[in-house]
Parts: sequence; structure tokens; C-alpha cells
Amino acid sequence: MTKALFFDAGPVITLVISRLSWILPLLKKKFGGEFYITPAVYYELVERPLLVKRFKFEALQVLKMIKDETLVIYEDVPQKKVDQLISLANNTFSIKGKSLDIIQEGEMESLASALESNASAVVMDERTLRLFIENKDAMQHLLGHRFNAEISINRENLNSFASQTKGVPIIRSIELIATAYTLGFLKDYVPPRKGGKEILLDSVLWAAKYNGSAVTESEVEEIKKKLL
Amino acid sequence: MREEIEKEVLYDVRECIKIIEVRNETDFTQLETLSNHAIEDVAVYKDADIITITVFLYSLYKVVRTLNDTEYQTVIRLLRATQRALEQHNLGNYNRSIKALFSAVEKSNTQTREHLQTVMDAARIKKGTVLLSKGLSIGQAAGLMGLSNWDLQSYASKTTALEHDEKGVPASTRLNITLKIFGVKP
Repeated sequence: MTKALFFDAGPVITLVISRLSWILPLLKKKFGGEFYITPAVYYELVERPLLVKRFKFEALQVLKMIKDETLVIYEDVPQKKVDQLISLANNTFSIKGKSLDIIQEGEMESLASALESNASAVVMDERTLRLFIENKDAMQHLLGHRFNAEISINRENLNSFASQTKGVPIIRSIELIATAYTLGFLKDYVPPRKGGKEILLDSVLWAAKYNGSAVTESEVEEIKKKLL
Repeated sequence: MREEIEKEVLYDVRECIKIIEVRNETDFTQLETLSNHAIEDVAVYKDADIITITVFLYSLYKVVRTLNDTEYQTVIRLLRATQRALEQHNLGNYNRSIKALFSAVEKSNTQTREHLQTVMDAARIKKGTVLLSKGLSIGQAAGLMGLSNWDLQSYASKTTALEHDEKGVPASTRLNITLKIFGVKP
């Protein structure tokens, strides 16, 4: 196994917007491996927001993490694998006889790179791809329920995608924050009052939820219960 | 423009004219319903013209109540011109009419300006969020609507678009996996 985590754009965006990206170098040191982003993720995290006034400084914060080698750009993206997985994913569901593109190629780069390099995990806040990998029936249920038009499913593609991506651990920004809390990285923020740890944990977990980590309220409570 | 796209856009334009040709209180809600219908076509066809008409319908829904009578009549006139252009397969006239429609909506936008965004930018973000709620990934929804992931994620996470009952791995299991990765005893 390669001691590496592959980051999708979402968790980095969540951490930057939540003003918690400073936990990444500390987590990386504790992890003792690489934190990779693929070129497409780099584009979405740095080049694209540099064109958007509102997120320019956020882009520079990510750029600094790359300069500091907290995040490293992974150049060996297995393009054939990316193409194959994206073709399966985007030819699984269809409406009105047309295939429904539900995943973008860039999002598949992190997953394909993690699979090919046998990495420790993929860090992904994105709900759709995560559900596709972890619970294909739930993915089918999600689309079937939310579209008014009838969804057709190519079961062969659905099963093939699931079997090829099976076993790759997926973690989210909220679990990284929970780990930082467990490791004591956030202890200076515990307010000096009764229930201070719970206030802190509440604040950072909800910050992650409201800034992009696809997590339900019951999951936030489950994480809190486990850590307190 | 492909025939099937032309058909869908023409349907939206005709429906829009039907809704607003006589001004009344229900225009507002009917336009919202029509724009919600159109968003599914964005996911299906992934086509710039469908996206444009969807963004226009949502923008019109946002400003329709603020239009004065002259502006309102201008919108109807331009919609009819758009319909004619589509029926005659005249792409040049269609593009000019659509551009003029956007300008008409943009001009009346001052009262609905949200956080320094134009009503069209806001429409792209709102419709991108609807695509997310229908199950498309953030990258796919943002890409279709011409947005950055930052724009869409920061907005959508404050709505219910990412809420879902469907579960993958339980949160406590995922946390245990993460703690183990970082060498922490769960």
C-alpha cells in the first residue's frame, strides 16, 4: 500500500472556508505520507478561483499549501483508468434514452489514482461519487426519487463500477476535523466553561457541514457521541 | 441547434409566453414551475442552449414582479421574436433575441441584486444547486452551469441540496477508519 491520501477538491474547499486548513500540515506530519491532489483538482482549487473575485484569496491559501508541500500535485494520473471509470459511471443511468452524466472527469482522477497506486484512502466530501462507490442501490434510489422523468439503469455498468472501486476507503473533511480534535490540535480553542469540549466539537463539525461536507445531522451527532 | 434541443427550447419559450402574456399574480409561481421543469433537461441534454433558456426562465421568475409595464411588454415582444426565430430555424435571430431578453432582465435587476451578483449569476447558482439535489456531483453540476466548485459548494452546503437519507458507510465506522489511518486507536 502507498502511504498517501488523494484529496478531491471538496474537502480542501470545506477546510479553507471553515478556516481549518491549518490542520492539514499537522495531520500530514502525523500521517507520515503524502497528501496528493491531481492536476484537475489543482485547477479547481487554484486556477479557477483565481478568476473569481470572491475566492481569489482562498485560491492563494491553497497555493501556499502547495508551496509548503502540504499538498503535492500528483502527475501520474492513470488516464486510461479515469476514462474507463467515467465511461461506466456516466453510462449507468439514463433518462429519455440519453445517458445521464453524473460525475465529472476531474472528480474521477483522485479515485482512479488512489486505486492504481493502492493509496491509504481518498478524501472526498462529494456525495454522489461516494454513494456510487459505497452503496450503488442508494445511488439508484437517490436519482430515481429526485428526477420526475423515469430513470433507466444499466445494471452491468453499475455492478462493474462497484466491483472495480470496491474496497477503496473514503473519508471526508469532517472525519479529518474529528481526528484533529482527537489528536488535540484544537485544544487551544476549548472555551473555559462547562461543556467546553462539546461546544468546540459542535462548532467545528457544524462548520464542516455548512461549508460543504456532505454529512447529515444524525452523522454529526454520531461523531460527537463517539468523541465525547 | 440540434432538432431535439430546438424542440425543448421552443416548448419552454411557448410556455413562458402563455404564462406571461396576460399579466397576473400567478405568473410568478408558474414561471418557477416552468424553470424547475427545464432544469431536468439541462441534466439530460448537457446543452448550452438549454442551460441558457433555463437560466433565463429562473432570472425572469426572480424579476417578473418588479418589471414595470413597458419592461413587461418588451419581454413579451422579445419572447415572441425568439419563438418566431426558432420556428423559422433562424439561429442568428434566435441568438439576438435571447441576448436582448437577458439585457431586458438585467436592466431591471437592481431591485433583486443579491450579494453583488447579477440575477443571472444567482440563477446559475440556484439551478446548479437543484442539479445537486437531483443527484449530480458538485463538479458536474458546477461544470454544466459554468460555475466554480467554490461558488456551488459554499452556497449549496447552506441549503438542503446535499441532504439525503441514503447512507454509505456509517459515520462511526468511517471515523474509525480515519483514526486508524492516522495511527490513533479508535
